[in-house]
Amino acid sequence: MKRRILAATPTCRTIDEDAKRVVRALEKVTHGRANTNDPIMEQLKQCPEGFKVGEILGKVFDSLKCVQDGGDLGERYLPPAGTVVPPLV
Amino acid sequence: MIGLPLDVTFPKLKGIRWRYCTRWDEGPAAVLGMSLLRLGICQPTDWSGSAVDFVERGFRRFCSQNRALEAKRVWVGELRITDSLFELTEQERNQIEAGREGVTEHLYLVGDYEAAASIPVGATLARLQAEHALLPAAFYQVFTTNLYKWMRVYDYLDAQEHAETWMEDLSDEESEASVYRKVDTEMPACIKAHAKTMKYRRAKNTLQEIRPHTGVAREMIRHLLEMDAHGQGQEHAWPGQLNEKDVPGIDDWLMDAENSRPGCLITWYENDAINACFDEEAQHMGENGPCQPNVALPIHLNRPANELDNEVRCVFDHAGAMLRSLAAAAKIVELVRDLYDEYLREHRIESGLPVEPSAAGVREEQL
Repeated sequence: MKRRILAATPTCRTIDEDAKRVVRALEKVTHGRANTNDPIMEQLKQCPEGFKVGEILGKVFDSLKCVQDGGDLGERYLPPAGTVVPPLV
Repeated sequence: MIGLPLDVTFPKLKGIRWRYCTRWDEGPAAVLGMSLLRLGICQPTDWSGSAVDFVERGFRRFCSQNRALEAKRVWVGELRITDSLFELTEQERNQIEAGREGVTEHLYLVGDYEAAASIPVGATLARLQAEHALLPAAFYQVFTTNLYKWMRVYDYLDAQEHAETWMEDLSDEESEASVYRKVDTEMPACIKAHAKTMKYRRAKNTLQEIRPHTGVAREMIRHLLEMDAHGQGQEHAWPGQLNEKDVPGIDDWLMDAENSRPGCLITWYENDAINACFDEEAQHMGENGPCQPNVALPIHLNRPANELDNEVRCVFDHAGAMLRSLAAAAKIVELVRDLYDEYLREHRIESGLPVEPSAAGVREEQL
């Protein structure tokens, strides 16, 4: 019986601490101090090539659009060699 | 065939979320999110770094726990939390947000239907009448009363109103030949005889007292009483009940807005006179202004935490009751449609292929 009570204590404390952590984060958002530790911004800082993705993809889709608009079917359905493509879901 | 390897890199970014919102969305969502966390609707594990995501995850789970998937089998629509009752373009929205000091003080729970669910009850009423003379009218009364709590229902009463309006401009001969006349003549006797006397309370007592012999009738009544139980204590949250304090500008908007789009169409049989009237009305819905949503409940974000929590609890109680009630209603509609399909199979006159009356017609079809 004692073991059960002891086992339950740290779990409750963890949930409580998690809730406090989330409340703190939400309070930051309400005060407009969010996005300072945005996970994607952090990762993009570590991988600056990622900023090129939008531009390159735009060119890829532009070339695809040209083909659809009446051009010949060519190799431009594929991104150019070396393109960094983000995961699309 | 195996293609040449391509020099394309797919980087894997861990822990990112798939949606990013403006601070205008994040601020109100954070206030609501804190309330949902206190109420236990959101959990700490819902936190992904975005307040909107946080609220959405909690709301999705709440809807799922309240049988939203069962409801979706019949009802085509959405229940959403939004900061505006009005449809705005991105430009209009940006203008409003740019001119606002601080975050919005209101959010709304809005429920709306993209299409009216077809519920042809004629065959069901006939089946119920075989059980007891009062059962069809009692069923119809309790079913529609409960549906009205969550949606605008289009039934014979709407069709009668539409027919009366249009018959005013017709001559007697035209009126006799029109589909509008059929709205009254097609009405089943079991409904017509008790329409004025079978009120909700009597209807519910009748449903509780009668013990049907057939399984399908018993099941139908069981689901209907369940639907009724889920809706107890809830009233329809029409946008018309909102006042200027809840939504600045609501009075003007309501003046310009059209009636809500119906969430269901109750006919006797498909393609009957009610269906014809509905089709005529549906063609022009939304032409003279935006249609009001079916459900709109405000959440005042600027209230103290305990008051906000009470209001959020009431709003979510309403949403939960709506979903559970509509899940039970979905089961009833499925039974109604099964009985209608059975009726069609038994009373099929024409084969599945369209047949022309003349030989020429057949020849043309063959060519």
